[in-house]
Amino acid sequence: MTAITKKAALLFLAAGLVAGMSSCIMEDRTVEFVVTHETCATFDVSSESASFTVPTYVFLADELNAALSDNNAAREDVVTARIVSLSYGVTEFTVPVSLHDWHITGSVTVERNDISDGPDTLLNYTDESVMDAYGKRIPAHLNRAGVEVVNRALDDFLAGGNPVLVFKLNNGTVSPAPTALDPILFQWKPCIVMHIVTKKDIQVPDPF
Amino acid sequence: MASSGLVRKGLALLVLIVCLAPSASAQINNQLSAYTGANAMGYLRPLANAFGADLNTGIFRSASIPKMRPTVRLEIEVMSVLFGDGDKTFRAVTEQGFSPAQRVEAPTIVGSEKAVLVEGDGGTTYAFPGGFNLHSFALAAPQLRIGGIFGTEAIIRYFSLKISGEGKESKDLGDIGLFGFGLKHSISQHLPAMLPLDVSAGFFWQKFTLGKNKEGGHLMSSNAFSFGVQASKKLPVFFVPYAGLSYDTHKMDLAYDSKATGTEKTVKVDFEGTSTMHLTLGLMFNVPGLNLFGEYDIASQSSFSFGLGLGF
Repeated sequence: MTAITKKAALLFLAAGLVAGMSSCIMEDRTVEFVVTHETCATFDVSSESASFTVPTYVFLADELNAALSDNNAAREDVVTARIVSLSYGVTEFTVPVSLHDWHITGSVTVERNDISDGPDTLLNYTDESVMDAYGKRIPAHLNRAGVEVVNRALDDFLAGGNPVLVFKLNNGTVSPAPTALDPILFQWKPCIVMHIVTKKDIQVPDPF
Repeated sequence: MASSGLVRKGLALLVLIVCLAPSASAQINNQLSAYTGANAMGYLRPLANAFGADLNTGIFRSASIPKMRPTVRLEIEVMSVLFGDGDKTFRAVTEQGFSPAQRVEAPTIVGSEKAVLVEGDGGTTYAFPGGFNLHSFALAAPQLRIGGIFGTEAIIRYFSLKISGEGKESKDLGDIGLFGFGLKHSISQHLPAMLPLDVSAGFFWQKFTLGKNKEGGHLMSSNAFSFGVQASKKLPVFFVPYAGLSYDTHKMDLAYDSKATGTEKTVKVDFEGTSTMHLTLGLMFNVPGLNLFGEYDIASQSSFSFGLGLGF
C-alpha cells in the first residue's frame, strides 16, 4: 500500500469515526429565535400653515426580507411577527429666526397602499414641543386600530404577500401659527419596533 | 461497554467544540440580540454556572507526586453538568419601550425551544426567545501534566482556534480559546512516612474566551480559579481512589450585539463572580503509560468528569 493510499485510508477512518461519535452527542432542536426589526418613517415638514399632511411609504416586505436574511432566516421560517412598540422624535430642526419653539398637535395614521386597509390612527400627539423632541426617542401610546393595520400587513407578509404601508402625519394645530415669513421646518421620525419569531432546525451538543 | 461509550463521547465532544464553535457563537449572539442586560443575565445564568463548574472540575486527581522523578502526561478530559427543572426558566421582564412592563417566566438558554409571547397595550406583543432545551452542558479540554520535580507538578490546559462562519456568517467570528495553569505540591513528602495517604495542595487558574462582537471584544469571557487540598491512596490493583476539597471562584462577562431597543449596540453584561466550596470524589485506574479516571464533584453546581491520560 502506498503512503498516499495509507493516508487516504486513515483520513476516511478518522472521518467515519468522527461522524459516528458525533451522532451520539448531537440532538436535533427546532428553536424559536426572535429577530428585532425597526422600521422608521421620515416626515419632512415644511409648511407655512398649521394644517398639513405629509405621507411616507414603507415597503414592509422588502425590509422584513432583508432583516430575516441578515439573521440567516427566510419568510418560510417565520412563526409570527408583531409590533412591540413605537417611539418618535425630531431628527432635524431649523430654529426660526425669532428663536421660538413650535407646539404641535395631530396624529399619525397608517394604511395599506397595495390593498384597501385603513387609514387608521396609529398615534395621537397633543401639545408636542418640537424643540423638546429634538434628538429624543419618545415612547408613544399606540392606538389599537392602527396597530392592527400593521399586524394584518405582517400576517399578509407571512402568507406570501408584499405589503406596502403608507404613514401619514396629519397635523392639527401649530402654536405659534406658521406664516410665509416664519414657516415651520423640521424632520420627524417615528420608528416601529417589531419582533419576528422565526424557527430554525439546529443541532446542539447535549451528550448526557 | 458503558465506559467505552463515555470515552467515545469525550473524544467526539473535543472534535465538536472545534466544529460547533462558529455556529454556537453566532446562535448565542442571535438569541441574545433580543435582550439587554438584565434579561441576558437571567437567560444565560445556567450556562454561566455550568461553565464555572466545568472549568473547575477534573483538575487535581491523585495526590501522589514523585519527589524527583520527572513525569509527563497528556490528558483529555470531559467535564459536564446536568441541568434541573429550576435551570429551565427565569423571571424575565419586557424591555424598554413595551407598555405595560410585564414579568413572565421565560426560557433560559437551556430551557424550552418555544418563544414566549406577551400581549401589551393597543394590540402590541412582546416575544421572549426560546432556549436550546439542553439536559447537560459539557466541555472537553486537553491537559498536560508535568511533574516529579521537587515533589511539584505543573498542570497546563491550552486550546486556541480561529473561527469563521458560513454563508452570511463567513466573517471572522473571533476565536475560541482556553488557557489554564496551575501547580500542585506534595505535602506528604514533608510529613512522617507512616501517613497512610498521599496528600497535596494546589491551585489552578483558567481563562476561556469565545467569539467576537462588533466592537472587536470577546462575545464571552470566563475566568476560573481553584485552590485546595487533595488526598489519594494507591491500592495494589491499579486503582487509586482520591478526594479533594477546594475553594472555587468563577467570573463570566458577555459583550454582545443587541437590537432589543431598535438600534444596534454592544451590550456588556458582567455576571457577578461566584464562589463555592467543592468536594471531589473520584477513582483512577492507573497502569504504566495509561490512566483512566472518573469523578463526581459536589459544589453549588455539581458536576462530573472523566477522561484518560497517556504518558509516563
